[in-house]
Amino acid sequence: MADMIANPAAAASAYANMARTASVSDGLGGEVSSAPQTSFGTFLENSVRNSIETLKQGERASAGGITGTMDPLTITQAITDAKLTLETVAAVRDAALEAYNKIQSSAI
Amino acid sequence: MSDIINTMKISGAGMRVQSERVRVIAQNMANSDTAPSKPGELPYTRKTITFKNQMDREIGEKLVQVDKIEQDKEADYVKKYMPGHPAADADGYVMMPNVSSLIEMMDMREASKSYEANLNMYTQTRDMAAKTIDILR
Repeated sequence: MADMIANPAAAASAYANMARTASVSDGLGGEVSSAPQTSFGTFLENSVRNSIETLKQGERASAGGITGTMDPLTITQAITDAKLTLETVAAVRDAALEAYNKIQSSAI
Repeated sequence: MSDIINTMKISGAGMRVQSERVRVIAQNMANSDTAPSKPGELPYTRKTITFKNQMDREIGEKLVQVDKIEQDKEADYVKKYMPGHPAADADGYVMMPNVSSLIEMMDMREASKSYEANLNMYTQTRDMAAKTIDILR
């Protein structure tokens, strides 16, 4: 394990593998475009775009619940989906920001 | 994550059909004394619900759906002696619905337990997703 972390080439190939995996699925149930070169930024952007749609569905369900046009099961499902999506986005954002801050504060 | 979301959708479909089953049972129970208004007419006929397994193209999984809600033609109507009833025949008998409260209550219990099982699946899956996300924190 220590060898793997210490070896920069291994780290670079691991990062490349992750980028390839990210281009196949966005991790939120949707297929990301099959662009040959997908950066981490594109992956994040697609994830956020899908998340926004899920959150919008949650909002529509809330509105439906207030007006009484939707059954409780549909509302619960939409809100749970939205909650999980929001938690995922928030957790990924926090992790990414933390990593970014660590890089910034590292000694040159 | 898509597997987790799909599992929740599958369980959600299970809950949806069971709630529809409860609705049909409630309708049967509510109409268990609905006699005809005239002699020769038929009373309320018990309704039955059947399910089917259908592919949901959006998520690529098979979900349970309501197939048909039909009238139960197998069970016989009950003849009740009520000479003063407007629907009573020449002998004083009225045709009453073929609803048995015992059967309906058993169906209700089954639907309720099935709903609960699906709800547990849903809750477990949601907890799994939440715990996975917690790793990032």
